[in-house]
Amino acid sequence: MMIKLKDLELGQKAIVQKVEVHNSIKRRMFDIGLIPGSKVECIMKSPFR
Amino acid sequence: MKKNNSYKGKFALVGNPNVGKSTIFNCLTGMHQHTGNWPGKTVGSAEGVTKYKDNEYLIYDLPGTYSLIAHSQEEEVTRDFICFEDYDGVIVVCDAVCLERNLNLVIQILEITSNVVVCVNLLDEAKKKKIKIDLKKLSTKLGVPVVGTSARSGKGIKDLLEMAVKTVEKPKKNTLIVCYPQEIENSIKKIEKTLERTNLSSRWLALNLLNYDSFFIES
Repeated sequence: MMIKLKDLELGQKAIVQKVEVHNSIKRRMFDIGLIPGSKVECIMKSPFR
Repeated sequence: MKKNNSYKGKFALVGNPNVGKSTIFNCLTGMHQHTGNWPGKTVGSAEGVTKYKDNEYLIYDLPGTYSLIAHSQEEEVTRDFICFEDYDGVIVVCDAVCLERNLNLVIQILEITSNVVVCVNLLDEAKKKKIKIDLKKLSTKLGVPVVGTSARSGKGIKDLLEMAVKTVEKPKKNTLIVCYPQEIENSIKKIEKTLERTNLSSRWLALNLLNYDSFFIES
């Protein structure tokens, strides 16, 4: 099952499958370690969404 | 402060945000730069002096960055420094708790200079989380010295300084060369030929031109 990073619920864990942004944003994602295969966990959520 | 050339060597402290660069800076220089955990805390760069045996060394504390491909003003400060300033060695500070993410920057810096000491900081935090790091193996893989520290308690700082001094005394070249896919390698070679001689490695410049960073085209 694939969902968007922003749809992760608090405490939910996931593995990055694809990085579907481009150019400098993509580079940014890679720089902070978000590459296919990275494990992520949602520990906080921005309130205004 | 004394004139620059009265120092035996100059080191730059770089690393991801919030890995304890300023804490290490304070340990080394005895200064009291503010340390704190918020984005962009170190916006300009601070400089201080440290002593090893009878010599004085200048240390630059640079803003935290994840990458030399700059996305913000503070990151540009660090990128400009590493690319265009005059220094003898770079101390790359890493967070032992999430080492892997930090190695991106280490490798980017190793593509520019080999006079690097990698400092794996926050070993105390890592220990709490039962993370063990094989510093020796990391050093062999990277081809540069790796020193473990826990800067908050001052542990390992002496070793770090000693290692940094050693790299100034014996500068190295090309300890780590990252091989890119053939297509990219071919393009690097083509671009390299057309570049004027600069202080920067032409391989590295070619790579960044390929990456189309407008900044490098301008300079």
